[in-house]
Formats: sequence, structure tokens, C-alpha cells
Amino acid sequence: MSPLVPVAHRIRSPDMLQVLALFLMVLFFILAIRWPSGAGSNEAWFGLAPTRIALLTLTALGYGAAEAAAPRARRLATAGALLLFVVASAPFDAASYAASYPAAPLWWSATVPFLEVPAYFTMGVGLGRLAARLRVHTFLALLVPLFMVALVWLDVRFGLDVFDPLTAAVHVSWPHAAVMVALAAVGGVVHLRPRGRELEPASPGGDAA
Amino acid sequence: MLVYSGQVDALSQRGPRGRRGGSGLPRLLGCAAWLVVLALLGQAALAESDARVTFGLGGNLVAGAWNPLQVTVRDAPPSTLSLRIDEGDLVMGPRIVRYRAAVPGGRGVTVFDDDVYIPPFQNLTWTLDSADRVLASGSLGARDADGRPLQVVVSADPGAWRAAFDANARFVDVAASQLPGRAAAYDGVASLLVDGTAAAPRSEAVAAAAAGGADVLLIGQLPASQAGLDRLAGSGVSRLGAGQVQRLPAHAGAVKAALASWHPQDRAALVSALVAAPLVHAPRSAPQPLVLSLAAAYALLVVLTLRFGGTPGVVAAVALALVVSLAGWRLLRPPQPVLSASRTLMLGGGGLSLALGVEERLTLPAATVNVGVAARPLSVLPYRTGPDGTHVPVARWHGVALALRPSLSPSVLRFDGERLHNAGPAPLRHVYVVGAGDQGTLEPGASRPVRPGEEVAASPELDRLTALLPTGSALAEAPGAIWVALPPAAGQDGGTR
Repeated sequence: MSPLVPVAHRIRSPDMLQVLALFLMVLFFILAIRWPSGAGSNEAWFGLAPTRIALLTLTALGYGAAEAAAPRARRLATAGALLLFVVASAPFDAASYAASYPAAPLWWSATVPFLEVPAYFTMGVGLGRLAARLRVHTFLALLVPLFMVALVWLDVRFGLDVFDPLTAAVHVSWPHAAVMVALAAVGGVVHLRPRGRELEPASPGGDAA
Repeated sequence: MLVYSGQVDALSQRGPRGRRGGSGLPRLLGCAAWLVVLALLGQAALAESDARVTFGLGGNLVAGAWNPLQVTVRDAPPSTLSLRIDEGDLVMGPRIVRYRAAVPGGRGVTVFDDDVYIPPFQNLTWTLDSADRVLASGSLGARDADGRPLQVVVSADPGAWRAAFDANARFVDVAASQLPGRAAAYDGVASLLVDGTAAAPRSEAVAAAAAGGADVLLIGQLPASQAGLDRLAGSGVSRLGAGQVQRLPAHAGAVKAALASWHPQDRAALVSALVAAPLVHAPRSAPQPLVLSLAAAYALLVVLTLRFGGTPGVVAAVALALVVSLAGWRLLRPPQPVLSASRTLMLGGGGLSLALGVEERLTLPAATVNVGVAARPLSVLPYRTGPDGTHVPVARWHGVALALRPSLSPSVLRFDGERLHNAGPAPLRHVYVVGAGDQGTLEPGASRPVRPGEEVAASPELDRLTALLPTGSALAEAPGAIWVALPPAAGQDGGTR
């Protein structure tokens, strides 16, 4: 079976398709308010790129947390579908980049989401499992944005350039790239490694470990 | 250094002998004495490789003008002259201008000349250093940033002419040999008085001074050795470039009257008028409705493809994203990242013109704008300059206007008596005479008298310039340049004043 089949099946599911549609709609809205209507500098990319990265990472974190207890195949399909989000939103990034002439190189803008999405998905899985172990799985909808804020706060508090996707969206950060690659690799090992016993979906009690 | 090395060798040869024959204290005293001698010889060796850096004409710097810069080194290795000029203020903070030039060295005397724009500054520091040591260094403070133009006198008795100048005038006595033959070096000079009592300046230097905008006063009957200067003055007064040369009787009153009647063109204002309207415009982005329509269509298509396409739909969506990305890039990317335009005002009289060039660059990405010639930004910006060119860091989607170092070239638009003459190979369009009006087009080689015309300048740019030029000046447009022929001076053939 082609590896694309589960991905195609996953992205066709109503929840994912609706999130994708909402995501593209937000990008369209950002483009509408940031695209210049007359002469002058084009600042569209500076609104669009951070928004795109923030939404992609938040979505990846959320899906990772929500599917922490899902079967491995399901998680892989979700991660693949999230990478399709990156591809589907790439024309927005390319078009606004072309017109804006930002200082960040194009290769950075084009590649960093492919690192961030699996990395944040992995963090999301970890967060989901931790929440299940602590029996606070019910509060995942709150924990996911809080976790994101905490990561950004860490960067701001300690002057780092490691986790904050908004900062990394507009300028090259090798520490960020290194951490994202490491997390994505960890995620790859965790998701692809055959396991003796697949996790069952989390019960309301949250005992998923 | 060679002397110093020789002494070290001598000491090392004597060392064993001293150890053989001397006792403790005398030997120590002997060594100390040798050390003192060595130190003195070392100092002498350093002094031997003499280095001198001079800013301004005869060491008189004019802030806010192009100044001659001279480095003289003797028996010194190749070195680098570095200037650091802080032209900031309390409000904007430091704005650093850096100048860097390679000074060739070698045995004997080496002289390096250049013209550098020195803005009004808070401090100016300079160093001349070779690979292994600093040959010379120094600094100037804000109090040294005198912006008053120079009144230069070349005379064996300069004090005799002091009374002819205002009490506040910057009266400087300069040797003829210190007068460079470059028009830009006289940017900060208001007048040059030569009375023939001192060594004769070179005709080229005097012509450069006049063409650069100075009022050259040749006093009395110059000696035969200085007859070349007399020829510059023609029948008594003669326009040359942006300035003039006139012969005057040896009387302080006549000099005073001549200086009072001299009204040079405000060259800084003329340069500003050239860029009063932007020469380059930022490109317009693609129309918003078009971009939004395409974006909406794409978003809808990709969602539908993923929803109904199954596995082939995933492949199709990826392909669609790639194609739309490439198409969007081709459609929306401005064709050139850096836009540039230049304009030159050729301010002329008597066959020579002072070229006042401006170049405007607009960069879409943040970049360092590089101009291959000496130039200065017309706004206060940090930049680097030197004989190899000027480099200005500019933020994205910003422009910078640069004034190029003034230079000389033959005049194309000239007054031939009371007739206008086009000495160039291309037609001059929109010829306009201040006070007489539009003169139409002047074909190559054509000459015709000034006639009354419609007193409306052909373009707003010409209109801005006419307000800064004296009545009788002629202006004309040629590709990339605006030619100005200043009216013949009063007393000159064809002069009307």
C-alpha cells in the first residue's frame, strides 16, 4: 500500500479538512489586509510568514497532543497530513516573499516549516502523554496554547532563539533549526519504531501510559 | 629599523667580551648605557620614516565640503589611511563615516592625494598604519569643524590684503605649491587671491579653483613668469566653470568691491534641486484584487482536490502548490532588486563645466549600495568611502541619493558673445534662458542669438533650477544631464551686468 493512502484518507477526514480550510482562510485574510493597494513597500510577507508558522506549529502541537494515545499508523498519517498543510500554504509564502524582498533567505522560509511541523507534533505527543499520565488530559485544549506560550516565554526570558517559531519565521536561527531537527528525529524514531503494544485511545480517565 | 637591528647585532657581539673582562657593576652600567643609546637610536629610526597627513587646503579644513587630503610619507612601508568621522548629534546619536585608502610606500618620498567630503562632525580621528605599526594618527574635535569657506591668498605679504576681507572671513595664506589641480579640492574655497609676489601657482591649479566655483583675483601686473594666469582672465574678467577669473588693480579697495559683487551659485542647493523629486520610484505591487482572486481560487481548488481526489488528489495538490508557487513568484517578483537613476548638472562658463552629479539608488532587499566613485549621501547616513568607491548600507525598500564628487568637463552649452552655441554631438532640448524664456531645441553645432520666448520652463526640474540661477543663465536638457551656461560676467565680452 502506498504511504500516501493513509495520508490521503486522513486529510479527507472532516476535522482535518476543516482545519486546513480555516488555515487557508486565515492566510487569505492576512494577505488581504497586508497586501498594498498602491505604490510603496510590500510588507505582506512580514504578516503572513509568522502567522503561517504560528498556525502550523500550533496545529501540529494540538494534533500531536490529541493523538498521543492514537495508534502509530494514525499518528504517522496525521503527521503526513500536517506536512501537506505546509505544502498547501507554500504558494502564499512564495508569493508574498517574492513581492516583499525580506532579509530572510528563501530557502529558510521554504524549509523551516518542514522541520517545525514534525518537531512540534513530537512535542505535542509528549505533552499529550504527560497530560494523560498526570490525569489532566481533559484540559488539553488549554494546555496546548499554554505550552506554546511557555516555549516562547523561555526564549524571551533567557534570550534564546530556540523554540519561538515567530522569531524563527523571519530570520535564520541555527539553534532553532538544530533543535527542530533533533525533535523531528526523535519523533521519527518514536513514530516509526515498531512497538510491542500499540497505545489504546485515551480514556476519559486519561490513563494512556 | 635597520639602524635598530644593527645595534642589536653589535651588542650581541660585544656581550661575550664584556663577560670575559668586566666586573659586576661596571658591566651593568655599560649595559644600561647601551640600552639608552639603543632607545635613542630607535626613536631616531622611527622619526626617519616621516609621515604627514594634511586635511584641507594648506591644512585648513572646511566642514560640509569636499576637501583635499594629502598624505606624505618618507621611507615608509605601504600603509593604510583610515578616517573615522562622527557626523551624528545629540538627537540622532553617532553616524559614522569611514574613509579608507591604501597609501603606497617605499624608499624616498611618497605623496598620496585625494579629495574627501568632510561633513560637519563631532569628532574626526585618523590613523596611518602599516602592517606592523602606526605611522601617524590624530584627531579633531567639533570645534575644528569650521564650515566657513576659505579666502585663500597666495602672496609674499598676505597681511597686506587682510583689510580687503570681512573680519569674520576665513583668511588663509597658502603656498602656491599647496594648490591642487582638482576642481573638487576648491569646493570650500570662496576666493583665491594671487598678487604675483610669491612663487607662481600652476595655471591648472588656478583654472581648477575658478572652475570649482572660486572667485580668482589676479592682482596688479603679474610678472612675466605668471603670464599664463593673465591669459585666464581674458580681457579683465572671465567666467570659467562655476567661478570666474578677474584682474584687479593692486588696491585693497578694489579687491573688497570685487568680493562684495561676487555671488557664487549655491551648489549645494542646486544639487538638492536635482533630487527634490525622486529620480526612481518603488515598483507597484500587483493589484490587490488580482492577488486575492488568485489566492481564493487556489485555496478552494486545493481543498476540493484533497477532499475528492483521494491519493491522486494528494499528488495533484502538491503539484498544484508547486506550480502556483512558481507562477506567483514569476508574476509578483519585481524585475530588478535595485533601481537606479542619475542626473548631472553641468554648471559651465568659458568652455569648462563643473559636473555636479547625483545618483539615486532604491533597493528592495536590504543591501549595501555600492557606487564606484567618491560620493556622499545627501542625507545623514553611516557609510564607507575611499578611492575605490562609496558603500552605503540601505534598509529594504529604501533609497539613497548620493552626490558625486564634482569634476570638470568641456562645456557643451556655451555663450558665444550673446549667442547660444551647442558644442556637443547631440541636440539640446528645452533650452531656456532665465529672463528670456524658452528657446526651443539647439541642434549640434548650432549657434543662435537669445530671443524672447515663453517664460515657462519645460519641466518642474528646470523650473526649480532656474530659481537658483542668475538672470541670463541658459539651461538645456540632454540625456542624463542638464547643461547650464552661466551668463558672461560683467565686463566680459557679451556680459550684460
